[in-house]
Amino acid sequence: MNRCTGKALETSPLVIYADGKRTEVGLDEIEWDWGASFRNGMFDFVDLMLAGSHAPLSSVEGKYVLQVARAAQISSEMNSPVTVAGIDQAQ
Amino acid sequence: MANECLNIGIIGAGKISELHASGYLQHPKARIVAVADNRAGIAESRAAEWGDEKYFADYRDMLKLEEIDAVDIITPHNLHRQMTVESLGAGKHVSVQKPMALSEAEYDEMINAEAKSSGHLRVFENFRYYPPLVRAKELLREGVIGDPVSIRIKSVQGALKYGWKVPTSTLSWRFDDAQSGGGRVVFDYGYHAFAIAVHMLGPIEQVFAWIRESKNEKGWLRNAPANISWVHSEGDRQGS
Repeated sequence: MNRCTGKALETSPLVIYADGKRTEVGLDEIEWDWGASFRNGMFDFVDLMLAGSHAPLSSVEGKYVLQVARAAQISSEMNSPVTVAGIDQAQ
Repeated sequence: MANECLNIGIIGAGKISELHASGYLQHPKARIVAVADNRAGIAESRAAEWGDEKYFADYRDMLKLEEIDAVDIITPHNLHRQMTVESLGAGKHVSVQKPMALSEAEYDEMINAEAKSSGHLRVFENFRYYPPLVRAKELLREGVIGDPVSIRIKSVQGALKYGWKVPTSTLSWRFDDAQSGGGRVVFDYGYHAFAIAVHMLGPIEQVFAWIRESKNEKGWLRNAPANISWVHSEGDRQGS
């Protein structure tokens, strides 16, 4: 992955290295504008709510990702590895 | 709710709301029916821009509208909990911008509110919908690169020559811990990186980090440079 919010390199958005080969997914092969992620995310929300389903990155998963961020902050303060599962108890 | 169309109310009409609204406006079964922002002039101008029927300075007044099925909360992080809980209490579906809240107690209150509501709660993180990342996830799932052993995510903080232009004034609150919850880089932007790491390689078990502080060109304090490593729960996978 070579771009998202911005870009650092004038190269393909996605490059695959596998089995000794380098394969580019070029600018003309895939939508790479960062704004597309918002459009797709809104579409997903609308479609899932109309279908009565839960959305990806639901509230429980959202909490879990935040606990990873908290673990990083605590780790830096303690200069020690932090187990994510222990974050709830640490608060 | 009639399942023909999802009626949306937007809470918070700042810069990022442009991208959210654009998505809803392009969906054939979505309609933005109202917008709320405590800056009344902003709410009014957004309503005119998006073709909304109604605008409000107080989101609580907007929540009284029965025709609203779902709300999108795009406000500073310290407001997420209260707005989410009240919206779910009003029976609305909620999409709240990441990060969902500031503390464990707040997350739990929001999750509990969802459990008691007829509405669903979605925490919106956009990177997982970015087409190149979607393709990368598909390739992983298809086994194109075999069983992944690591993920490396590098984010550069600096001038944005090619990206989406955001006025400096709309970014200032993100550098205020009281509003943003703990750091522009690791807690706010870092949420994207952690979400993608989990999305790609599964749950994270343990984290080690060196986080330093520096000032940006405006003199605002940010928690960078930061070097963060982690071990995933399964498959001897690691990331940084």
